Amino acid sequence: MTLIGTPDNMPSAHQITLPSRAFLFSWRDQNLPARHAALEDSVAHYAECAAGDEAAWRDMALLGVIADAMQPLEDFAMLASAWDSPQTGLAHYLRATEWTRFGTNNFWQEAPKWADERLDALAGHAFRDPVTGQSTPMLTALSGTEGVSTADLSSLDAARDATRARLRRLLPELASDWKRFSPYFLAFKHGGLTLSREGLVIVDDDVTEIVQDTPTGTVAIAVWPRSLKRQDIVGNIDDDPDEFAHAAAGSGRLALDLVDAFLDSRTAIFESIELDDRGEVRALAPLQLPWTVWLSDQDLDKEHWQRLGRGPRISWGEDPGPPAATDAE
Amino acid sequence: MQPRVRADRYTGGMKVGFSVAHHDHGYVKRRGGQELLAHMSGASARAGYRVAAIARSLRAYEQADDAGKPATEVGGLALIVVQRALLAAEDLGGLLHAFAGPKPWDRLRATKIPDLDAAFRSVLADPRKTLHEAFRVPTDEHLRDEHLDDAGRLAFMRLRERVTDRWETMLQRPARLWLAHREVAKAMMHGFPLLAGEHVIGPPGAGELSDGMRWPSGLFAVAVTSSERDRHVSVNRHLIALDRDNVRRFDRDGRTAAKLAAELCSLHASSIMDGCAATLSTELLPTLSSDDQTRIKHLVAKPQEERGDADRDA
Repeated sequence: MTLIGTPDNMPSAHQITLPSRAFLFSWRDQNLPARHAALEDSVAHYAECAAGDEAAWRDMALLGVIADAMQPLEDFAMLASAWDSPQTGLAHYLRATEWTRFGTNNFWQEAPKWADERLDALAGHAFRDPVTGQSTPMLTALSGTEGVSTADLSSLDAARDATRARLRRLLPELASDWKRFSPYFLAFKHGGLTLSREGLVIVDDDVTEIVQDTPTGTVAIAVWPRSLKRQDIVGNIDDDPDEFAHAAAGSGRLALDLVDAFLDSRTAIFESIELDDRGEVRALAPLQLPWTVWLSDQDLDKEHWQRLGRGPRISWGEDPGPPAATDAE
Repeated sequence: MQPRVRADRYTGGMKVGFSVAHHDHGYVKRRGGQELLAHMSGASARAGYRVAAIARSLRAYEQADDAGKPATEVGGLALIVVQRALLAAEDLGGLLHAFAGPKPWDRLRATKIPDLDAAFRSVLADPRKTLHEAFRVPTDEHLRDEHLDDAGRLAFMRLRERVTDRWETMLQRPARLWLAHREVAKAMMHGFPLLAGEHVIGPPGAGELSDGMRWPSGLFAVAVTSSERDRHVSVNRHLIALDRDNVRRFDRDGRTAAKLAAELCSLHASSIMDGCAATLSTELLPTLSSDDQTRIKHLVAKPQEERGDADRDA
């Protein structure tokens, strides 16, 4: 599918375009592979420790998996928040460089409840005005939809709806994982506050005195929470450690997929801008809007996949004029 | 008994209890409590894990570099070494902060970045103070209280000198690592706002983020962090060189931090269990003269009652 767009006023190369480009490309080329590598290494390290007989070492390795799995959830929260609520008048990436104490918790509490328009902006299907919160569909902003065939529009809408549905399913899952795993993540990175198993006895809640035949339990992992207000230990007494590690790793991989899709949706525009050595725009190459990058095969009918592929292609024109073509790729 | 276990999912709570093999629970409490003692006792495995994790990341970085992988990818792997080394440094910094004041268990669990900064600054400014505060190195007064003869006391003083020299050198590595690169630790933990050197240099570069920056000839990354106050955004850029020499230094410093944390915990655990106000590792005994070694071995082998009561805390 090819559309014809009109380049709007280009933002300042020095303050907006180049720093944003470097930030997003660094994420794509350096940070995302590093996060993948760290998580997979921690999973492999845990498997080696789990095969051994040193429980305390295995506990740390399990926390290592959880930490490397939760980091992408925090990354996604910071990236998504930055593009959802950028600082007024400044490049969007800047917000992702500012850590605030409850920022990630707030994101995971709120994002599962976001309205469709906000999800569209997250997915790169719409622009969202950070001041008014007003959403403009991406195609309307870039090229308009005049002359686009009904079938193409239908496929675009289907992909957008499927993306909304997928995000509606995944964001609450990840939000729940964030809540579940973050105490372990905090304990790991701030001092390795795992609960030592030496001399440790786990008993039912109603036990007041431990005698020789008091039934004792086991714990997959337990940590000391960072907050002194909360004296209770946080522990998992339901799963075995392998299941717990597996669940955490799965959550981290899913978050990495979302980060990947997010980066795809934001880097495409920079791929289409040819810059000279000073960072000034030399030419605009056709832009392929990564419309379907959030989806997996089963999320969309074959017919829509065939029509859209990765997404519609936009060729830039001086004069918008009528769209030139809307052929499937 | 004991804190409750708050189940993270599905079921109701359970309780945990600690069995502490010590005749004086009041003493254990005065020295930080059973929770702290249990935590100290598990330090060796924690440190072992940290060391292994750092070593694995160094191996992955070097293999990728040897294989000619893209610079950005190699740089990312180097950053994992940095992160894991800084985690080990944070473990140590937390312990130093904890033992620099009362209620060490509470201090350990509530350590914040300014506390870590202060602990490591104190290491560089006055390492002997840290050694006496945190590592419970015996003072001259402690040694006098042991009722040793002059030769024995001087032998212990020479051992103390060796031990403190070693710890002093070791302490400075993680302290410098932390103070030089804590921005990277924070950035990697919170959203990973690190630019790859290749995208900073360009062309076309990173615009205003490249302005005025002098970068090294090898691999590097730049942590970009910002803060907003009264609608004014301040941006901080922190460059970290990721060439092999540097990354190996991060690896070394991180491993040193983990080893020190383990030694520190082990010292505290054994001093609590033995009821000693101060302790001195005999690991460096073989570096002393044979006369000193013989004297110290003989004195260490003597029953405590013959040497006087060293535990003035109990």
